Amino acid sequence: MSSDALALKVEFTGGLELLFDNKKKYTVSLPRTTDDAPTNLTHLILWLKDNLLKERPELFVEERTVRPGILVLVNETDWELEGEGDYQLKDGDEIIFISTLHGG
Amino acid sequence: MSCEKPEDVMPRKPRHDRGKTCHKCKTQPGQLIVRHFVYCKDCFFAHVHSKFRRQMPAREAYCQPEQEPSLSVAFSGGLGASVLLDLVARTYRREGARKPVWSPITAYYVETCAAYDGVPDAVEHVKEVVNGYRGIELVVLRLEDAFDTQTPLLALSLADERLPLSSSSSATPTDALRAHLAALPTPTARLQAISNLTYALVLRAAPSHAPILFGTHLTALAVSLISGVAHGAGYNLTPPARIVRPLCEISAKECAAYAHWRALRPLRSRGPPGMDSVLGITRDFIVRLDRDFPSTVSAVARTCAKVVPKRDSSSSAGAPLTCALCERPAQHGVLEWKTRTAIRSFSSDSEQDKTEGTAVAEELCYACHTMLTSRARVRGPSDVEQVLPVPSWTSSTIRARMRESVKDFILDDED
Repeated sequence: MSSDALALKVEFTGGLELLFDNKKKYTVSLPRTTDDAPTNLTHLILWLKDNLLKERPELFVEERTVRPGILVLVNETDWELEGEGDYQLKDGDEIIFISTLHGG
Repeated sequence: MSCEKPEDVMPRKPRHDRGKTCHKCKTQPGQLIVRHFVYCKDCFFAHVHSKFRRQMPAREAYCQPEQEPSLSVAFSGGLGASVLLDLVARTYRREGARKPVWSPITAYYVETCAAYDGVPDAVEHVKEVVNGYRGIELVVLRLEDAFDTQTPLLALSLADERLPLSSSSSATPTDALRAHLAALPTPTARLQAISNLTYALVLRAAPSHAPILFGTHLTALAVSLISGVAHGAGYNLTPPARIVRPLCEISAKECAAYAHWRALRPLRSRGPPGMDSVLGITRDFIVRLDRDFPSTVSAVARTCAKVVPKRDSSSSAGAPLTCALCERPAQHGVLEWKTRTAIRSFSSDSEQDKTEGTAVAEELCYACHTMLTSRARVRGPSDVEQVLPVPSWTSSTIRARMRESVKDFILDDED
């Protein structure tokens, strides 16, 4: 079954959920292509900033990527192993954003 | 082709050196990159446990054979502390273990919500977390416990850098805590004060012969060392022997991954992010450094570990001084030191006032004196009136040192 949209599970933890209406888990739907290219993690980050982020974008996004101190897991794997923002999203992917700036 | 933006034309260097397979087991697909090395989940847990155990002290180094081998854990509820408590429990309280290496194990939690507006009390959450581990006791302290108003608290006037004594009008410990924090001149000083009070409360509550574990991970340690030097606390870069930091080789990223995969529930940071403070700015700098140059942060910690302060060895230095406020080792003569290192001027009127009354500046370390007297802006009229209630232990120490300094002039009752 093919569809024009990708269904993705997105989770925020470590205090990041406070920026997203204090809600940890979202299911979002993105087009398979963005700007004539397969939709990737950078597109998702910018989409989250424009559509779900409620306050203080500087604590989440910086120069089209996440702010330093945020660990991103793609299907339980460090996004640095998957190409970071260039990772092409697949239907059913689970993306977790974890803030490491908890304090002590 | 322009060279103005080399990132546009140069392929980015990958963050890992060798493939996507775990570099330990060489069979499983990698799931986390730690300083250029790829780990699968199982090997990552083994790697963290190994680093933790390597930093744990030998029981014999702290306990005489007749003493019970107590272990204290300073538990803030944050990321590092949650990982630390989990590692302690899995290592020393696992099912089927033989005679425990450490017993009792006590977690000390200091509730700091009274220091902030609108921050909820987290004691119930902490109880739930700690009680989830078998055989770990919890002691709950409160930041306001530092101000026991049953005996009158002393206060310091911050208008004069010699810090003359004044009286405190705070009726309750919470009032005194809030007055203490409100009197501090900068956001940096307020964060520093909360940290100092928490540290002193834990050290006073824990048994003196027991090591106290702090969940300071590598990233937080680098932040603490750099910001500590900026505060003027370079004399205390080396912690006392009681303080052990078993996560000092484990980064914030590793802690976050560990907490996520172990389903731990760290407390969110208390209070504001503190970006208007030295601590906040340093944290921002170190976290960026950690992302772009992952090995540099450990180099910061390793370099600072080699720094040993020159302790006062001359006979003129007198007995070793402990700061009356933070209770860390201090150098004598903070005012004289500052006279040599800073450009200052006094008006002639105020100079005369400074020769009268009892001043406390010489009982403090450089960092605490700077914390109380630094100014983020030009002093206004309201600052001149600031009176800072001091913790109970500071009041006791000042009274004892005042008695000591006049003991030769006190007449016995029989005379």
